[in-house]
Amino acid sequence: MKKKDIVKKAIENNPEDFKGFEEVVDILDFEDENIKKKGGITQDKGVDSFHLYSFLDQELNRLNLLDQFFTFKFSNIEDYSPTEKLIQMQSIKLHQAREELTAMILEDDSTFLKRMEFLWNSSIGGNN
Amino acid sequence: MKLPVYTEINIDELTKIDFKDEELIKAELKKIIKKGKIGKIPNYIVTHHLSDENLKSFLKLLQSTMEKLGSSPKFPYPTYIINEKLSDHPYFFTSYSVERLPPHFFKKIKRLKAKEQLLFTKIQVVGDKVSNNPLAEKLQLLKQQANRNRELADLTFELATYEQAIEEIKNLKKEHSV
Repeated sequence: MKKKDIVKKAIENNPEDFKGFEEVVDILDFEDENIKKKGGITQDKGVDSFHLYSFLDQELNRLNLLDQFFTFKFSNIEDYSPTEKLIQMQSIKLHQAREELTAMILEDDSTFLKRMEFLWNSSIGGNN
Repeated sequence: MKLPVYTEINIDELTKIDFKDEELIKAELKKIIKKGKIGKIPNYIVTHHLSDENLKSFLKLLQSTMEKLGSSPKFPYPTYIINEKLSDHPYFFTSYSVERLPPHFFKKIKRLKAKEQLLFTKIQVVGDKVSNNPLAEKLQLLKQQANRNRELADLTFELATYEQAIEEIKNLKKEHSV
């Protein structure tokens, strides 16, 4: 059985499996027909054509993504950006955390003050 | 319209003009931008022959002319400034040599077949749609948004550090009380 026939049978049985590979299948057909007509064609020519098609396809996808970004996604960023509210919330939390931490450090039996006391006594305070 | 593959923009005409004559240079640059279809196809400008001073004023004038014409050096297609001394630029993409350019747009030009022609027509339509956006404004907004996000990240990092310190102090207290 020829490769082409195997592929055709497979497409008939499971057409969804070949989604996105139509161009490759076309090349198989193209090469077979040309080989019959012209008595042989180099494989490079088919691959080269596929390269250009693939490049244009990638390019179209890239531009579509850019278009989506600059129209839909960008307007979302512009109109509904959560950053400002998050900054406000974080600033409030940060302020509270600072106050809590300062209060903890300034307690009489805090480790920080004990260490400071030890440092003071062992260097400057101890000499007096 | 040409296929979106790299095209060199020749600036030999500019080197004959004195760079101090800004108006003349700007008029010449307008012609170059329109002729070279900057922003509409991927381009590169070789600037090895320009002196440091001339390169600086050339880039400054090119930027202001492009901003006036509303064409973007990045979207939908990039314009690269090729110079071995230029490592980075805030407005343009740069490269040390043509060989080091991203290979995506290096393609052989061929006569298009029907399917390829159809894709190419779509590319032209979507490309025009992208360039019809006020890109300079949007990129500026995007930059501002990026700065705000960075600010948020700094705040979050600082808060996480304090919260960790508070947690450690509380744990220490618990250990001492036991």
